Amino acid sequence: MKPITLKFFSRALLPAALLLSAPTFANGNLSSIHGIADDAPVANKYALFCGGCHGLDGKGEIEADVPMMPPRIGAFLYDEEGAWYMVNVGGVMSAGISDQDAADIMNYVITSFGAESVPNSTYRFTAEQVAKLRENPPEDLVKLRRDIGKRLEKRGIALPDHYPWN
Amino acid sequence: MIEILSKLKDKLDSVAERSVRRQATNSGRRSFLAKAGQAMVGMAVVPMLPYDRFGEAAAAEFEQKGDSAFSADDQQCDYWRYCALSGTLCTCCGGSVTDCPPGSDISKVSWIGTCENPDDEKSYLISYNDCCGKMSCNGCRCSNHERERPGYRLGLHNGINWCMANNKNAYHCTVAAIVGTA
Repeated sequence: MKPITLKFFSRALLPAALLLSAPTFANGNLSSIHGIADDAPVANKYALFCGGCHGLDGKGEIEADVPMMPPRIGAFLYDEEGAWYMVNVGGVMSAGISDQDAADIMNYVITSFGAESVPNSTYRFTAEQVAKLRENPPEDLVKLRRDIGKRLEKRGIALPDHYPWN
Repeated sequence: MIEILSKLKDKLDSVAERSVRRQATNSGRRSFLAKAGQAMVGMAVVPMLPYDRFGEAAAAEFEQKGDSAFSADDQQCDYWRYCALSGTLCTCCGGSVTDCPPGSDISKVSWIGTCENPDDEKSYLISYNDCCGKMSCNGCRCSNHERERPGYRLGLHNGINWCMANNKNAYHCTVAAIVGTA
């Protein structure tokens, strides 16, 4: 029974709750609810908004279908739809963070967990870019992830390991 | 006298017989099997469901009124780190404020929230990890909900069994570790 339990909760509850809540709260800023200052260090915001599931080291938890980010999270940016994918994944959308916080956290993630994997070490997300990328969320994130993976594979570029829905 | 007792016995026999026959007519073996099956499945499923922390407010209130057998700060619901902790304190179950009791494992995912330390009036990031794989501990139940939101805000909800990602996902108790400043 345990594997069923695990899969039920990890595959159904956790991602579904994250994804289902996404559209309603895409741009809400929950800093005040969370009790963190707007000008708090981005590492603290990552810990608060993302760290519970993704881990403070970004390694996630494969058993809970939380993908691993280091060391290749920046490889998404080799693909023209990579940034679109990154800012629209369930965790970012359901965190209820502002475009600015999302941009700052994305930059923290690519520099802290994927500095060696980015195509351009000076690449940085901006709040305006995040707002624009969030205007039209992908219809099927998993398919988009697979498509990006296939395109990059042809170029010899690997995405992070442990994507649960490959 | 013997006659009266005999009549009473006959009466009891007939009442018992009628009752048993009625029972047999109204509920067949299938009905019994269905109910027994439901009960067995229910027992198997219940431990998998998210830990129900509802109804613990009364317990928390009781603790907070000072009738607790525990004296250390971190064994009280109003200890500052527990501002959003809903569940059982590991400090009362053989663990500490950061370590799980022996025989239980720390949850692989958690809820990270913020609480203000009254001593320095600073806010800290607190990771509420559940300890897993052991029957629920009965001591020191708390139900604090500072900044908590409903379950559709999973990251702001403490009624979740955060043992869900562990191999052994029975809920035992909750720890509250500082993971940074807010």
